Order: sequence, then C-alpha cells, then structure tokens
Amino acid sequence: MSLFQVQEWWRCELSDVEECGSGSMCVANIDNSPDGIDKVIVGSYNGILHVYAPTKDVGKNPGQDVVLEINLSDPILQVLAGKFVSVSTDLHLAILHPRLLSVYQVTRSVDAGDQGCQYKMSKLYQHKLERSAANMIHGPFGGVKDQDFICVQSLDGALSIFEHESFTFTRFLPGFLLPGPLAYNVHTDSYITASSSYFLESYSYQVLAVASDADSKEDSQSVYTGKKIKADWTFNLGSYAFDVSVVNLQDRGPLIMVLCEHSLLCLESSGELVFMKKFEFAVSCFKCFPSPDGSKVHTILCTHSGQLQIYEQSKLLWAAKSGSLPVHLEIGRFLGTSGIIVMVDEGCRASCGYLGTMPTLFTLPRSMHRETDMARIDHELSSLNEKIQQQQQSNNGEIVSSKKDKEDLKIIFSVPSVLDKKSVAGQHVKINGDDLPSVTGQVILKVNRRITDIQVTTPVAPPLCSTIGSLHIQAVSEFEHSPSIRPSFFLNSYELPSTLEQELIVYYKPPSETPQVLSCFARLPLLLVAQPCGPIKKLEHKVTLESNKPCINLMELFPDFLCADSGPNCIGMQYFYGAKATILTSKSSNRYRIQCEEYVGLWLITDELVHRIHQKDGDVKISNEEQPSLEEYARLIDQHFRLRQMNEDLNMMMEQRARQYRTIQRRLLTRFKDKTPHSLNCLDTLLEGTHTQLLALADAVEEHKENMRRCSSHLSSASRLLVLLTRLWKDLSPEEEEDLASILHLAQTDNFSSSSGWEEIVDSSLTVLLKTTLSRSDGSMPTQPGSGILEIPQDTVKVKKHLAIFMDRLAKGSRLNVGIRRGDHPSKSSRTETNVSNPINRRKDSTTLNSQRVDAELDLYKEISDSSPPLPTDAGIRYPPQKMTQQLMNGDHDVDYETPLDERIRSMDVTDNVNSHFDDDITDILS
Amino acid sequence: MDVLWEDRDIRFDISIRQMHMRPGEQLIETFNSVEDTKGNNGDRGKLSVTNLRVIWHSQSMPRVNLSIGFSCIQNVTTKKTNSKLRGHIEALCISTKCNNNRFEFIFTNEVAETAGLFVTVMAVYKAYDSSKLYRDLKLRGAIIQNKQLKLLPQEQVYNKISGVWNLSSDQGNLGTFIVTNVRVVWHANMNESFNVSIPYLQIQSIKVRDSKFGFAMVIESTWQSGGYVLGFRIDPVEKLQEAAKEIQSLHRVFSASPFYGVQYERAESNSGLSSSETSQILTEPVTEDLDIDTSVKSDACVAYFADGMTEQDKTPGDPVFSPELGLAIEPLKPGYTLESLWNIL
Repeated sequence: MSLFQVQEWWRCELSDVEECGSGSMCVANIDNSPDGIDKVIVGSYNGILHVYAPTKDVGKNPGQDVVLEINLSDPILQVLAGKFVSVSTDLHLAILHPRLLSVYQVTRSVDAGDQGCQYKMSKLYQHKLERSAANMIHGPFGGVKDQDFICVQSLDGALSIFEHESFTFTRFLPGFLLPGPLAYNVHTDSYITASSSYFLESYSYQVLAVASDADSKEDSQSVYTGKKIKADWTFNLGSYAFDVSVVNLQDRGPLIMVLCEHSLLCLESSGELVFMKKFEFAVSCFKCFPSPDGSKVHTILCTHSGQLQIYEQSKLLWAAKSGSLPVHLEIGRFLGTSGIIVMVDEGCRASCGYLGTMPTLFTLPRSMHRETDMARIDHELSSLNEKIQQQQQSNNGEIVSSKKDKEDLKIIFSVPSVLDKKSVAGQHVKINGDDLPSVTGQVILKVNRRITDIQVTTPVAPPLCSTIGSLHIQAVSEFEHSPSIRPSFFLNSYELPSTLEQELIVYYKPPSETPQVLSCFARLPLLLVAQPCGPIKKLEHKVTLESNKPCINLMELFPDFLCADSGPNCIGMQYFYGAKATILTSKSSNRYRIQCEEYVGLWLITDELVHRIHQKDGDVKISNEEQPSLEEYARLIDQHFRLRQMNEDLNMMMEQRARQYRTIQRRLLTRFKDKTPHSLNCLDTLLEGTHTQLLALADAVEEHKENMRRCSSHLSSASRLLVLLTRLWKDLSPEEEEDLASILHLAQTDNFSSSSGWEEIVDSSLTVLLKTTLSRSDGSMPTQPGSGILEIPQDTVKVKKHLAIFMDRLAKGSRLNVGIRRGDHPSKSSRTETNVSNPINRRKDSTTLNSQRVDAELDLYKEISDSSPPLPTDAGIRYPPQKMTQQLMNGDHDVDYETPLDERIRSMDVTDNVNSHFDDDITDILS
Repeated sequence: MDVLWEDRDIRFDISIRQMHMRPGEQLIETFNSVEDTKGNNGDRGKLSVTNLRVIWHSQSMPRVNLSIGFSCIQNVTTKKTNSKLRGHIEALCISTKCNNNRFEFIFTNEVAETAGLFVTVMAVYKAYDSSKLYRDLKLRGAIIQNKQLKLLPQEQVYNKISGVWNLSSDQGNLGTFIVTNVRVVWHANMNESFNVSIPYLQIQSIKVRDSKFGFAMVIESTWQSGGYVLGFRIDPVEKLQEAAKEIQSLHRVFSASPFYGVQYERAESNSGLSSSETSQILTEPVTEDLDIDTSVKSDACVAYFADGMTEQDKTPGDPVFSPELGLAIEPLKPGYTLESLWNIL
C-alpha cells in the first residue's frame, strides 16, 4: 500500500467491451486546435477508434468528452500522431492495421455549440501491407525537416519505410525471430530494436537504405531476399525487452532507454551503458521524458501492482498507487496543465491522472452508527475498573464472594404456624408418640445457575427431631423445577427443647468449584411442644415483663392456645412433658407475667411472648425491671456440674474396670499359653464378673449421658432466658446480646467427649470480661493471649460468684461494650475481643503451638490446675460443630492464631453460613 | 417514476421501498448466506443480483443493507480474505467508484460452492457493461456504419425519418432520425460520426415548441445524462407533429415497462426462480410501511472505503506542474516540498 495515490482526473466511459495493448494510445493535439489541448486517441483491437478530449467535469456532461468514435472494422494495432502530410506541418493520425497503414486527418467544425461541435475524420492516404504488421515508428528519417516518415516492422522481421504517400523500401533484419520494440534515434538517424536473442541492435537508416541489390530496382514491399545488413552496434541485454525509447536531452544529446522484465537500462546512442536499474518487481510499461531543465531523463514506470514510480535517472523520486493497471503511458497537456499522465488499461479504458501528494494512510474511519463508540466503552471500562478497585480496597484485598456467587442459590425456608393434620411423629418415634404433634416446613431452593453436590441439613435441638437429617441432591440447574423439600419436625420424647429456632444449612458446589454454605432460620410453632390448658393462678417460677403500652389481649396474641378457661388476661398451656405454664396480664398496669411450674419451662414461653408482641406491634418496648434472678440458674449449674462430676466418676470407674479386665485377660492368656496346664484359678469367673461390671457401667454411662443431655438442654434454656431477661433488663443492643450469648455459651449441649465443659468455659470468659471490659479501673488493659488449660473445676462456686459479680456490674451500669471492636478499631479492641469471647480459639492456639506463655490468663487457670492434676493437653480436644460454630460466629477474624481457619473461612461465610463439612474439616485438623 | 438510481449509485442502509425492484428490474439470482466480509464481518446475509445492481442485506437486521449499482463497479475480482464465518477463503471483491469515493466490497459465500456467486456477478456485470447504449446517451459514437444503424441485440427499428435538421448550430445539420424500441438516433447525413443516441430511459420530455427556427421538436435528456436540450426540425409541421407523437408514445410505452438491455441467461435453468418465487421475494418485507427517517445521514459507507478516507472538505485542487518531476501533481501544502514529503518514507 502506497502512501500516495494517483488522483484520477478524468476517465473515459466505454459503451462496449474492447481490448487493446501497448501502442494502442497516443496523446496529441490531433485536430490541431489552436488552444493546443491534447486529445487522447485510443484504438482498440476491436477496430474502434476513440478520440477523447478530457474534461474535468465529466459527471455533469456525460458523453461530452467523446470527440470521435469510429469503427474502422480492422483491428487497430497502433496509433501515431505526426506530420505525415508533405504539404502541411499539421499533425495527422497514422493507424496501423494488420495489413493496412492509413493516415487520417481529424478536423473540427468550429461553428457548432457544445453538443453540436462536429469532428470529422477523413482518410488522406493508405498503404496496403504485404506482410502482417507488428508495430511502427515515425520520425524524420534521413534528416528530413518538419516531416515524419513511417517505418513499419512486420511480424517476419522486415522494416518497410513509407515516405508519406510513397513506399520507399523494405529491408530484412538479420537473425530475426520475433518482432521486438522499435525506436528511432534522430541523432544518429538509426533504428533501435531488441532482438529475440536478447540483444539491443542499432541499424542506421543509411545502411538500410543503401543495402539494396544493385541489379533489381525495388518498387514493391514484396522482397524475399536482401543483402546482409550489419548492425551499427549491439548490446547484450540478457533479457527480453518490453520497450525501447529514445529521449533527446538538450544538454547531452539522446539517451536510449530500454525496459526489460526486471530492469531499466540507459545507453548512449553509441551503445555504451550509462546506468542500469534492477527491480524486484514485474513492470508493465514505462514512459521516458526529459526533465524540464533538459539535463536528466525521467522515467514513469508502472509495476504490475499498479504502482507508478517516477525515476530521475536511476533515483526514485516519487511513487503513487494507481487504481488500474495501465498497458500504455503517455504524458499530455490538458486545460493548461502539462505533465498529466494518461494511462490506458487493457480494457481500453483511458484515464488521466496526476500524482497525489496528500499522504493517505489507510485507516478505516469509524462509523458512528454501526460501530460502538470507543470513548463510551473506555468510560465504561474505567468506571468498572474503579468499582473493582473500590471493592478490593474495602475488602483489604480479600477475595470476596461476589454478589453473583451469593445469588447462585436462594433458600426459602418456611414453617407454618399450624401443625400437621396427621402427625408424622408416630411413624418415626416408637414411644407412644401418637399424641405428639408435628409440623412440616417447606424448603425451596431457587438456583440461578447449575450447582452440584447439594446437601441440606437441619441441625435440631434435642428432643426435637427432623425427618431429614441430611439430604443430598446431586445437582440442580436453573432450568429444572426448583426442588421442594418438606422436612417435618416433632418431639421424640416428652422433654423440652432448648430452642424453637430451627436452622437450615445448605452446602453446595457452584460451578466455580469453591464450596459454598448458606443457612437460614425459621421459627417452629410453640404448639409443637405445648398444648392449650387451663390457666393456673399461681405457679412457682415467674417472670414479669413491663411494656410501654397497654397489654395486648392474650386471646389475640395466642389464638392457638385458647381453651375454655382462658380469657383476655390469662392463658394457659402445658408442655407435653407435663409442666404447666400460664401467661397473665395486669389489668391496671402494663405488665405481663409468665409463670411456669418449672424454671426451664419459662424460656420458650417468654421468648414466644416477646416474639409475638413484637410481631403484633413493632413499637412496643418490653422491659424487665428486675435483675434476673440467678438462684434457679445457679441450681441448674450445680445440677449440671454434678452430672458432669458423676460422669467423670463413671468414666474413671469404667477405666478402672477396663484396666482390670485387660489385666485379667492377660493373666488368663498366659495361663492358656503355658505349656504345663494349670488351673484357671477362678480367673474366668473374675473376667466374667468384670465384664458384667463393665457392661453395667456402660449402661450407666449411657443413661447418664441421657440425663446429661437433658440437663444440658435445660441449662441452655436457662441461659437463653437469662440472656433474654438481661437484654430486656438492660436494653442491650443486638451486638451486646450476641456477646452475652457467646459468653454464656448458649449452644451448650452434651459434649461428653470434650474435657472442657460449660462451667470452665463460661467461667474463663467471665473472668476475662470482668478483668477487662467490666473491670472497675478503666479495664481495657491489654491482656496477653493465654495458654491456659481449661480443667473441670472443683466446684461451681467460682463460676456462680463470677456470674453474680457480672450481673452486679451490669446492674451498676457497666456496658458490655465489647461490640466496638467490630471493624472500627482493629488494633486494640480486636485483641480485647479475642480474650473475651474467644477463649476457645486462644486456647486452641496454645494447644496447637504448645507454647507456654505466662500471662494473666494463665495465672488465672493456675489456681485450677494446681488443685487438680492436669490432663494431657492433647487429650482429644474435640469441639462439637455447634460449639465451634458458636465460637466462629462470634470470632473476630483478625485474630492471628495459627490454625488454617482464617484461610478457609471467608468472613461472610463465617457469620452467615455454618456448614457441617467445614466443621468436620476443622475437627480433623485440630484432632 | 423517480429517477433511475439503482444502477448509478451505491447506497447504504436503504429503505425497504428502495430495495424493491423498480419496473423492468429483474432479479437474476439470489444467494443466501453471503457474508459482507468488509462491513459486516460475521453477519450472515442475502445477496441478490438484479440486472441493475447487487443488493446485500443482513438476515438478522434487514435495515443493514447495501445496494451497489453496476455502473459504479470498476472491477470485479476474486480475492483471498479472512471471513469470520468461514476463515480464509476466496471472496468476491468488487471495487467501485461513486461520487469521487472509491469503495471496495468483499462478499464471501458461506456455501462451499462459491463459483456461482463469482460467475453470476461477473457475467451480469459484463452484460451490463457491454450494453450501455441501452441506457446512456451517446454523442458522436460509432453507432452508424454505412448509413445504417448498428442495431443492439433485441433492438428493432420502428421508423426512419429523413430530412431532420439538428438545430445545434446556426445553420443546422441535415440528418436522419432512426426510431427504435429503445432509443432515438439522429445522425448527420454528411458525417456519420456526428450523431446522438438517446435512449428513452434518458429522455425527460419530448415537446414541440416554437423556436427561432420555427416549430421544432425538443428532446430534453435527464440530468443524469447531462440535461441536454436537443432541437430538431422537420418540414412540414405535420410531419414534425407526427414524428413527435410517435416518439412520445414510444417513450410512454417504454417508461411503463423499461428494458435495460442486460441480458443474462443462467446456465442451469432448473434452479432458476419461478416468477412466483420472484414476486414472493419482491413482496416479502411489506411489514414496514413507514419510511425510515433519512434525515440522519448514515455513515455506514465508511467501512467500505477502498483507500483512506477522502475527507469531504478535501476536494483536491487542480493539478499543478511540478518542475522536479516534470509531471502534474496535486498542489502541495504550503511549506512542504516534494523532497521533504518523499523523505518521510
């Protein structure tokens, strides 16, 4: 692609398909008009002669540029303009047909208007040719003045000279095979041609003229013999010559230009090489002319790629791309501008052009309509980049679960407030469960893209049971009907669950391969655990709540617990395990009283009441004026502790018995192995006895576990009640409530396998809390992370005492302002929080690292560990998933413990989603 | 009838109405799934070849379309191109020139058998190119030989009226009218090469008018053919009236069912479109009755520019003679010399 273009100035319109070749065009003022404007004469092989007068505004007047168009019937091989008439110096047109040479006069009648101007072509003379012609040249042969004679080269190598109307002579060129280009050098009066043997040969006109046989006078072209003619000089071109041209320079005389296939040669008229230029491309034609100052020869060269190259001698001056591929080039003068390049292609299309000087780098301009706007796209890209950066900064470079990921799956978990018409409990539980109701919830998984390995779990608080423990679904995609799961919940024994908040956990694998966890909660109806019953005026345990609005009609509040005796101010219910409860409202003051036969029964009803009141009227503020009583709570702690101790004892005993059993076994084995048989010495009886003891102990442990579980559940209920009452009492914020819940280790369930129990965990949490946030002196002294070992305490005095102090502090107005640390002041408060609510994590840290850092916390535990022998630190510290969860849910993840926790859990997952698989992983790592 | 533009113009994103065949325009062949590789690479479209133009329109968005008049076509070649739909493939390359803008179009046939597309377009272009006398006014053409009109194929001479004076020059020129089914030809009796061939297609009006030479028949040509006003006188006036009437009625007949002279015969006639099919194609997109707002000038053409964008304001000045080269060049910008420009390279 060339930088410059040939600007087209004029182009002829053809009305027919024609063909022509080199020599088919000449440019001359053929009608000898006084303005001197050149005409373009094109003769085609189809025999049609066109004469054009190029004008610029062809588009406006089509057809105007055609001066003449004549069908001459015979193919036109070559056209030449010259002074071919002896009596005139006007230009005439010589036309070479294969067997005819004609000379025409072209005239214009000047009287006519525009479209009426009339050109006429009349034949002056013609010569019939004996031999088929190849090409011709004209010139002042023999030094004639102001006259042009014509020399025709025939296909078989004869040169015939015509002096106007008369034929002069015919000479054969020696060694001829095929006709080559022909040129006439005025200076030396000689013909120059390229022979088939790739030689450039020069023949003098004089030599040709006198070479006739003396005896036969020539008067016709039909000669068959001739004297051997010798060339003046020859030059070995070594290649086929396309064209030969003679340029007369004012300064230094003529130069012979020869265009070969891949080279341009310049020779003196004596046949010496001046220069030679080699090309790497194929050339099609050329035109040589003297430079305006007459000192150098200029050449227009056309390559087969349609490029016009302008050379000064051998130096490239300019190049421009042409739209067509010309076979013949001429230079003309039109409308006052000389130096216009006239081209004709092989389709006979003549055109005029000039060299463009405006560089046209080929760049496709953009379309505004179809193409997109680049600036707009750029803008969009930058705004998106900005967004991404902001997102990254706000998450401290963590990879966050993008919104898209979260939207993979949407869980809808709903539990109706009405019980199943026909309880499913009987199908699952054996113990006379006919009268235990069940409720069936609905889980709908809405997916936006295909997810696989879906696992739905419903961790239930015993004795609640679920019909689906864990459900596995292979894959769900957005096109399928969203799977609907209907888990049923019911009690499996006459006991009390610790909470009616039912969690649902869904674990799944999105296409991105990173497993995801989602969880959601639903509230099971109270009817699941209790039934309506007549209200009882006075019951042992009670809680009184104040409201800032008049009491709501209980019959509206608990329409599902209505019975004959209940009224707007009192409503009764009975847990399935037997305990009765009543809610009373005061007529005079805005008070609600919840009373129950058992302390643990208070929780669910109080919770339900508060929940329903809030549901009914969001503006109602419920408060508890009194400090929550710790009396019953302490009893439960004691009971729980006792059970734990018993559990320890039982375990100890079982260990002893097992050891005993093994010893007996060993003895017995040696007895049996002995070569000389002895009596068994009653060892078999001993073994059997020990075995029976072991089994009995195991049974006892089993039974004890059940008690323990129940007690744990009760303790959990009581803890929840305490949290609720404390919240209502001190109007705690949700964060504070959460903290308190974590301190009291709400999700306390049976953790027999763990050596650390509820009491020591709560105690250590409380201790740290009292030492830091709630301490009397400013309290925020940084405590070093401890490496203490939690041991089962001697008694519950300490924890009870700490609990009482804690309540005292709260009563005196201290706030559980551990919540500040959430993100705002990461450095100091996160540490505080670590100590307060993450003793487990901290402890885990110490056990895994086994570091022995001494600090305040350690000191604290020393008292305990001094008194009782320490258990091995690695003695199977296992955390049940729920406990872990609890910890993690409250945990601050800036904590620098060395477990892989923070690598695995993304902050969002931890707070929102808890996942059993994940818990298993952690347990594995820790154990 | 509006002015014939179909074969004279290259238009982009034309309206449905413009895509319909005009009277006398014939659908020669339709190629489904042809890609406009240059402007809409990757978009499948339909290429229709009529006797006047090549129409391509996108199949997904029919408003994205092209109409290339055969008269704008300078060259039809094949070329190796890179198509989104077909990869490297031999494609049909049409280089055109229209209103000083050079456009290049490349069409790729998605069907493996691509020869049909080339053959059809090239052959129809040839047929169009060699039958210009049917459609273009011609002055001083080589149309008379030995006092006889060289008849075009399918042309019939209806009448020959001698003694017709051409009133272009003061003294007038005696000549002969030859009235055929496609054109009116006048030539001077004295000079065969002084003639004019006016196809009915290019005749704007034929009137009998009083002039300084007396009553004369005035034939006005359309602006496309230069807007010539040609006056002819025939004596006596009755003969003039008769001739004018004849030419008028022939012109009317021709206008009702124009004949463009593009003759193309498909080699395989069995796969040819039946007339019902043709009409079905013609009436296919009738849903759009309202005209597209053409006030917004579409610049869809830019994708097809064959060389760099010829800026609209860049109307190259008249060429000037460069003494350095000895040739005419485009005027240089002030401060530039040929040498400095050349040395950039």
